[in-house]
This record gives sequence, C-alpha cells and structure tokens, in this order.
Amino acid sequence: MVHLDFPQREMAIKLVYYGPARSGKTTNLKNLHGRIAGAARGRLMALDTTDDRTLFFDLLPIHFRTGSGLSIRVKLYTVPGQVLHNSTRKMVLTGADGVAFVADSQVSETRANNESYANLKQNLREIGLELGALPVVVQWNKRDLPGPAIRGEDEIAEFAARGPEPVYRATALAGDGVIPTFLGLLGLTWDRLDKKFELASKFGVPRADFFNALLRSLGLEPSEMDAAEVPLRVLAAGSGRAADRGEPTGP
Amino acid sequence: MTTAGDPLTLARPLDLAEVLDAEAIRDVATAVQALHPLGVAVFDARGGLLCEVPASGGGVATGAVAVAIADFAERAAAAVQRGSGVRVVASAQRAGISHVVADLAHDGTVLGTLVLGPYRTDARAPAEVQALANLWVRLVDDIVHAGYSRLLTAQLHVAVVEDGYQTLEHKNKRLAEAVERLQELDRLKSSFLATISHELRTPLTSVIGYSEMLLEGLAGQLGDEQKKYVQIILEKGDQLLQLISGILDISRIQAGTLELARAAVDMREVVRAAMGSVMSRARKKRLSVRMAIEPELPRVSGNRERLHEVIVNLLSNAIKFTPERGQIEISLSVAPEASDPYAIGRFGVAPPGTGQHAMLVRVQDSGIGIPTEKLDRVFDAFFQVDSSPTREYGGTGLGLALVKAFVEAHGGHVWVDSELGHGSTFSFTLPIAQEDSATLGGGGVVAGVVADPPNRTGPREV
Repeated sequence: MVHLDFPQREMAIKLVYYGPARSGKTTNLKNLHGRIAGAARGRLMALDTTDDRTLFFDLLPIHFRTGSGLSIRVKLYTVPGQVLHNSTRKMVLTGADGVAFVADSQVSETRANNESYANLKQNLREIGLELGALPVVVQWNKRDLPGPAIRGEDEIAEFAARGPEPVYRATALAGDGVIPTFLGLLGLTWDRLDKKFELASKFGVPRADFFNALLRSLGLEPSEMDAAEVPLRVLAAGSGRAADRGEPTGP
Repeated sequence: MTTAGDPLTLARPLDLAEVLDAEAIRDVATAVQALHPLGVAVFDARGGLLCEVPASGGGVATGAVAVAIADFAERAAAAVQRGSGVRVVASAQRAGISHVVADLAHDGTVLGTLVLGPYRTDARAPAEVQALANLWVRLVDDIVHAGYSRLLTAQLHVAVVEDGYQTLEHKNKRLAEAVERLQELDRLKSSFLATISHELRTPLTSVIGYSEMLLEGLAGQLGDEQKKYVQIILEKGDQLLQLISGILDISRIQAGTLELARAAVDMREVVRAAMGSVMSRARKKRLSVRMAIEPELPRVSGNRERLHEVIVNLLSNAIKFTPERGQIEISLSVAPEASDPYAIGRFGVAPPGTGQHAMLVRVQDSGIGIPTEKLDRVFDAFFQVDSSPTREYGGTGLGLALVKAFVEAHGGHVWVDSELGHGSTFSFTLPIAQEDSATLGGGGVVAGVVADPPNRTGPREV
C-alpha cells in the first residue's frame, strides 16, 4: 500500500517485478541501478541468493524530491521466481502499488510464464487484491535471442492487443527497455493513485512535475519518458482502430 | 502499518538501533584510530548514544575518566546540532576544540549523526578532518546497509516460516478431519457387516437344522437321490455358515467388539487337532505334512478355538496352494518377539531373557508362492492373489484376514515370506502364558529361525 503523509509531504510507492524464474527480474533492477545516477539512487540490495538465483528478493530504493518539496520514496522489489518460494513471493507482493510482469520471450518458457501469471493472480487474491485493480505492465524480456527460439514480434503485438496491460519489449541484459518499463509502470501507478487519492491536487504536484523531478534526479533525459508513455498496447490499439475503420468485420 | 509478519511494507521508517552493528563500528574505529586517533560516536535521530569509541591516544587528552566523560558530553552536545552535510561544531566549553558532525541518512531519511572528535582545531587541517568524516560516513553507511539487509532477511525468514507453519497446520487439520471421517465410515461399515451377518445366520441355522432332520429321517425315509440332494444342501449350507461367521468375526474385530476368553493353551495340542481336521485333504493331494515341535514348550496365552481356526486356515491354505506330492511343515518354537526391533539384527539373534520372547508358529509349504507386489496385501479381507474370473483356486479371501485379526487380537504378529514358485512361509507369534514365562531360561530359541529371506512382508521389515 502506498504510504502517504500529507502534512509531512511524504510519499512511498512499492513496485514489484514479478515473473517466472530466470526471466530477468533481477537483471532489470541491476540494469536500472546501473543506468540511473545521482543521489536519488539507493543501494541495490540482493537478499540471499544462491547460484545467482534470488531466494528472498532484491530491493532498489529510489528517493527524490519535487521542486515543491514533496519527498518521494519508490521501492522496487523483485520476487523469487522459483515455484517453491511462494510464501516469499506473497510476502513481497503484499502492499504492492504496481507490478511489472517480466515474461520470458523464449517459446520454451511459455508454460513458466503462464504458471507465474496464474500464480500472481492467485497470490493477489490471497492478499485481498484483484489483478484488474492493480496497475500492471508486461515486459517481454530477452528480445535479443535468435528468432525461432523466441516469440515473434507479431505474436507480441497480438498479445498486447488482447490484454489491458501496457506491454514493453526488453533486453534487460543490455539495458534495452528497462527504463521504459520502469517509467511506464510508475506512470500507470501514479495515475491510479492520483485517481484514488487526488495526489496532484493534495500535494500540489502535477504529474509532469513528478516525472520531471524523477528524471532529473535519476540523471535521465526527458525523452526517456516518451518510450515509456507509448507502450506496445497503444501502438497496437491504434493500428487496430485504423483497420477497423477501413474494414468492418463480421456479419 | 508494519508488523513482524509483514516486513516489506513502506510506512515504518528504519530505526538505526536495529540495523547498526556496534561491534563492527568498534572494529573499524580501532583500525582507523591507528591512523587518525580521533574519538568516534554514533547517535540516533533523537540524540541517543548507540556506539562510542573514545580516542585511543593522541586526541585532546586521554586516560582520565573525567576527561572521557567531558569528551562524551561534548560529543553528545555536538550530535544534536542540526545542519547539513559534514560540519564543524566548535566546543562550547573549551576554546580551540571542535567536533566534526555528519548526518547518517538512509533512503532520504536522517537516521542519526556521526560525531568525530574532540580535536584541537589548530592541530588538524579542516580538509583532513572532513575527509575522515566522509570516509566514516561511507563506512557507517556500509555497516547500516549490511545490518538493514540482515534485518530484512531475518524478518522475512520468520514471516516465511510462520506462513509455512500455518499452511502445514491447515493441511494437518484437513488430514485429521479426513482420517476421522474415514474411521467413522469404517466403524459404520463394520457395524453394518456385523448386523447383516447376524441376520443372515439366523435363517441359515434353520436351513441347516431342517436339512439334518430330513437326513435323519424325522420326516419320513428319503430315497437315495433325495438323500444326495439334501446332503448337498447341508454341505453348502455349512460352507455359507462358515463364510458368514468369518465375516461376522472380522467385522467384530474391526469394530472392536470381539472378546477372546483366554487361558494357558498348549499349542502342541492345538496343532495336532488342526492337523487331524485337514489331513484327509492333504492325503488326497499326496502331500507330506510334517510337524517340527520342540520337546519343551511353554504354553501360550490364548483362546483355543480361535487358535485352532488360525492353524486350520494356514494349513488349508498351504494344502490348497501346494501342488501334488509337495511338502508342508508346521513348526513351533520360542523366539524373540517379532515386534522387538533389536531382537534380530546385524549382530544376530538376542538370547532368551534379554528381551521379549514369544511362541513362534510357522507354516511352510513348497507351493506356488506369492508375487512380491502382492505380499503386502495377502492379509487384507477379500483379497485374492489371483482375482481373475478364471482363477484356479477357490476361496473367499477371508482366511488370512481372519488369521491376522485373531493373531493380532492375541497381541501377536503375523507375516509372510515367500518366493514365487518356491513356496511360502507364514509365521506368527503368540504371547507366552504368564504361568510359563518364568520357566523360560536357556534354550528354546531356534537359531536362524528368521534368517533374511529374499521376499517377505511383516513386522521384521524394519
């Protein structure tokens, strides 16, 4: 749950990177940590790993202030992907304000993706949340792998058109798509929280100020926001509408 | 709100006291003081002292307790001086003496302050002290980070264990409920069987009784053909009665309502009587049936009729499953009790008087044997090793179930060793009668009685 303290002008947001084992959740955080700079970037904390696999979770804290003095803490967590660590996963997921689902693009991992997504749904339900009520973005990771091994661009576009979540493509190892996924999720989360708590008016911080402060304190270019705000879904939906206009379907 | 079970929510600010490893600070301070002999102290956000390492030498002054106390008071005073960044705070008490104060922040929140000093302002370049303070801030930050990560790990560990425990508790509860339900069903089934067999037996007694009267000519003389038919009715009636009695016994045992009147029983007599009632069948198949009975045997505590039934059942089985001209042997001996896990083991058989002993009864045949995978089930009620519709050997599948039930009702154990195609050995134990157990001394134990056979089931599998 978001932590809001209006008199103290403080706000804390919890974002969780979910997904199957070895889909690249930790890599996302590591790469994000590597790409951002400045005082805002906290230390990346990796808790209990064996053979490079997360046992508990990773945590990347980010702290920044807007020009009007609103203090914002964003905590990024990863869950352990392996099936057996479900208690930990549920624990980390508790109180999440937004979820980035990191899917593995490899065709061979389809089952693992599906299982993890169902697990996310189940765990959310058990902690009293519904998937539809929570800001979720999907990241298709490992886009750099050779063609036949991974889901094709058309398949991902189709996936994006089918679901409500914004969809991002990424090669987290190289850092591609990592920042748009993060900013996209944070944008979606801000919108959802703003709708619920009227953040912009109560804190006196418009959305643009919030993100400008964030980008500035993370040493990112304002243009980084563009990629985040135009996820695949928007593109797919746009082209879909165009097709609809040209050629009405069905009897 | 944050609880111990939910360490990862956001509201609760970090408490420096929870995450600061004072021991680590002391170790580092000792090492750093070798180069820069300045006192170090860490205070929490409310000005409470968490850790202090006075200068080891070369500070303003060392040694005197009064000086140490004064130093501490000054450091504490400096700690609560607010400001930003690394700052020099001049001593209010002593001219020319200063402290360097730095905030310790984590995640955008000031958790406490670090105070270095006191030091003589004229003896140290401000840049040197500032650099040292910066180094210290980084070191403390590292230590806090390690402590924080340890704290989170520990909290999460506890939460995960609690969660696992609750899951297990939940599952245990459901299992216990299921077991209870099954036990209740089992009791209902046994009680139903007991009632139904009793109800079946009553009219059957009349069928048998009237058939006997017909045969005895009480209703007038019967022709040969008529006698033959009534004879068959009588035989089949007897078979049916035995079957129903068997079911009744089993269900009574399962329902826990079978009562055994027990006395000291001489098993030699029981075996001889049982042999008498099965010998005609054995002779028909030209089987050799041998008795191996030790001369000096104690009596057992048991019910003569039930034990007779047990032996007859085992012998009948042996006769049924042994091809013509085969061999059957029944033996009686005293052996260590089968339920004593250490009576027989890697180092041999325990001698009498060093553990529980029991009467061991074994019925060995050279018959067709039992496949390994079926060994575990031969004592189940209605189980047939060959249950195919074309099976060669008849029977209800109650005999061995009754054997097991009766033996166990006596407090004994029954098991079977078998090798497919080479025969089976059924063994069971019975408790020695109280009256005779005192006479058990040396001898009586058959060495190698329970050597490890290749294929067995029963209590000695441990």
